[in-house]
Amino acid sequence: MIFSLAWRNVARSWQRSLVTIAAVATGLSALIFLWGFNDGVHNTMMRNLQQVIVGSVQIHHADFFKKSSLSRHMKLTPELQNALSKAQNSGQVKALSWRLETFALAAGNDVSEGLLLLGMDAKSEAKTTRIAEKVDQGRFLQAGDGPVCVLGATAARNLGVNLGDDVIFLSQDRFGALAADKFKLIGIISSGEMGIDRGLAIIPLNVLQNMLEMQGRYTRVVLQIAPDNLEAVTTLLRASLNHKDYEVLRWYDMYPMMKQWVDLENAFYYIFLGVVLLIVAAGIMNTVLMSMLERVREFGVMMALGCSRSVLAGMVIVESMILGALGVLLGLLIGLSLVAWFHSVGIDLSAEMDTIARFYIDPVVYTEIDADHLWQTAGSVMAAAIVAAFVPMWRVAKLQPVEAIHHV
Amino acid sequence: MFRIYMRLGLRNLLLYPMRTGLTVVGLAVGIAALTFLSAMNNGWLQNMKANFVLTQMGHVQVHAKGFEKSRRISDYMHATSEVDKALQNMPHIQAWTHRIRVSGLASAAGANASVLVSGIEPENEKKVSRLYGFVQQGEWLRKADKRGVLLGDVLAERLSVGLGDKVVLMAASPEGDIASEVFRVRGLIHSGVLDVDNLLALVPISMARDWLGLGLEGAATDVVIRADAFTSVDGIVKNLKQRLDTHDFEVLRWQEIDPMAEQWTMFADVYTWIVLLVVIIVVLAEVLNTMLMSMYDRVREFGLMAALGTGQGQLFAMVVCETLVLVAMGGVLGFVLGAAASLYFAEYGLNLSQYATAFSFMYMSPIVYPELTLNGCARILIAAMVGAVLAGIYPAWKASRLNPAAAMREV
Repeated sequence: MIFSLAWRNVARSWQRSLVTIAAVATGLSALIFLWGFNDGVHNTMMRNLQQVIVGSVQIHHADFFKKSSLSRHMKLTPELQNALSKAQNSGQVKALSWRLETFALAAGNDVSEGLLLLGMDAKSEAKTTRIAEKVDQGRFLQAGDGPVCVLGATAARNLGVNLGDDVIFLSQDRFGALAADKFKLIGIISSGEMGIDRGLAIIPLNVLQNMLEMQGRYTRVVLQIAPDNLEAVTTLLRASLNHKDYEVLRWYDMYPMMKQWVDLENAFYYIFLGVVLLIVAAGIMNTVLMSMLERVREFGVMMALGCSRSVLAGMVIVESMILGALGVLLGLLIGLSLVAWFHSVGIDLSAEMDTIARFYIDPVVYTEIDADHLWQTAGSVMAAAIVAAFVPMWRVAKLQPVEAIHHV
Repeated sequence: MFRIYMRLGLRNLLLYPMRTGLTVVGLAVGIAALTFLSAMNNGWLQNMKANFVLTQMGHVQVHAKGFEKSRRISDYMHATSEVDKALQNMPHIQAWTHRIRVSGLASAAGANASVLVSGIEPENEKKVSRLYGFVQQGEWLRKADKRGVLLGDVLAERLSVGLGDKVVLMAASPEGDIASEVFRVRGLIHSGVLDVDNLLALVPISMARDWLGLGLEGAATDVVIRADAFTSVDGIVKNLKQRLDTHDFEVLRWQEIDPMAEQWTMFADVYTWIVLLVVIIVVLAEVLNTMLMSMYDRVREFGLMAALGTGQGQLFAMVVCETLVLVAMGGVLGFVLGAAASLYFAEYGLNLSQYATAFSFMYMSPIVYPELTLNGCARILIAAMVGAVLAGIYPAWKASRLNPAAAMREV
């Protein structure tokens, strides 16, 4: 009964109800759009970081990440094999690749430069990361390549070498002896990311293993995992690998700034969520309060006829809930359509800003929204609608029938 | 005439204190949040710019022509005396120093890592960059101690070396030969900036000259200049370009050396605009809501006014003015609140240390001091006022279109 009464009140002053619903819907859809933009930027950043070269999770010899040296390498032990196959059998690992790396001095035409010399397996790397797509001159490594290398664009420029030129890499092998070899430059990477373009040389894994006397030895296993499965796989790997011998690091354990940045910006969005909620709540309160004040005489009559205060109070709350729910539904509809539209079309900000390669930010933003952000927002708007009804409800509960009937 | 509309508007608003109050609160919260956000944004962007430039880079650098692009040590300045002469007595310059910059390889007891070697003048460097303040362990370089080296702390950890340990630095000389030299770690640097902590090795410039065979006294790759303020940078660059032969030298502003800070500022700007836009839309939807409701409420009143001879234009103006008064009330309150919060935190700082890594990556200190600027406030004010007029037009138009006879009959 309370519901049908409330519904009739909402429908009776439909113009006012419509205005309120529209205001709630505007607030919610605006918030959804903001989240869409925010999550779009953030998820692209995080995805790019993982997909270009870092991967989602890496396994190293313990302490390798902080103190990389060839002595902290891994072999394919039964323990590691077992852990990896467990992870792969869970179906949550998209792909993995093995890498070996060391620092080397590269010498080109008259100049030399300190670089990270990275051994990659062309076949498995192609499935794991998108580094091959970033080659813009020449080609990436292929299975069966001999002594060839791919350089970052800045490194190649600094060394003064072009495709087809020879580059000499000078390093130390596992026993500390000098190791030097000549490689033919077959590809140049322009990723826009300074670390990659300036400091990286990629050569075939087996060639590097031979050069460093590291046959069958690796420094990193790189796994590509969907964001939803990241934690589960990490836990599984950590459980099956002895932490004295291995470290299992998520991308944000290795590069915490991006994650922190995302958290910081999200914290800001929560503040704005609060602000918009307050505004929306004030709007709903306005409507419900006004419609209540208008009907003081009506309420008085109802009370005189034996309608209890709690029924009246309930009616006011339900009215507000109806307005809130309709507003939320409309807001979800509009907000999600906006997000979906800009997800396919993209928001082109290239007139206002450049690519910020260091953060993997593109000037065209494709909106997307995380489910938890969506439900939190919709839920809080709905909650605000209910909270907004407390003041009018409290006023109704205090009404005296006789005075109320005399109310003008 | 206008004053009458304003007074009417104000009176109508005061007639419903609850409704007006609620709307004003909503507006004020929105405007206050925007004001604070804009101040905060300015605060940390200023902070970032200053840190970005003063950590290492300087406001302006002079190199031999083409060095910035080639980064080849062979493109070095054989003598910086010409640059020094040009800088002498130039206004707005706080200090300058010389450096030799070369990338190379560091190795110590089995571990090696790539490094950016920077040969510096220990005394002058203190006046130009903040590197001196970042020494965390050990001590700053001494001129007499030719084999001293300061390492970034992450780099040192990677090499597993500490104070007093030996490190071999290898780099190419201008002729292309690989030159290596033994140094002893005298201190560790921690700045929070990746490029410094992970890569940097500081050695005395005189040693760098000998080691890399740059021989001559006065040879350097960079002249690094610290200006007295960001606003002086353009003037200094212009001045230098006049005094120096641009066939031999390049004069670069900080933005040209690394555009990252500039890009980030643009990005933050776009972000703030989008938030501003969305919040203003929400606030104005709220104002529209209030005005429409108050209009529906007063249909009879409007009908009566129209019957008494108030013209359509006058009714229209009255409602628009009412909206303006409403937004102005909320706006003023919001500005006061937002400005108060900004000024409070400008004094005491807003501690966001839990995000310290992100901040230091962005060259920012995690204690943010908001900075209220006229520009930021004007942007919000104009957006709110334009929006207010837009939000007022529809109710005003509806009110002016009422049929007096029908309106008066409305219950």
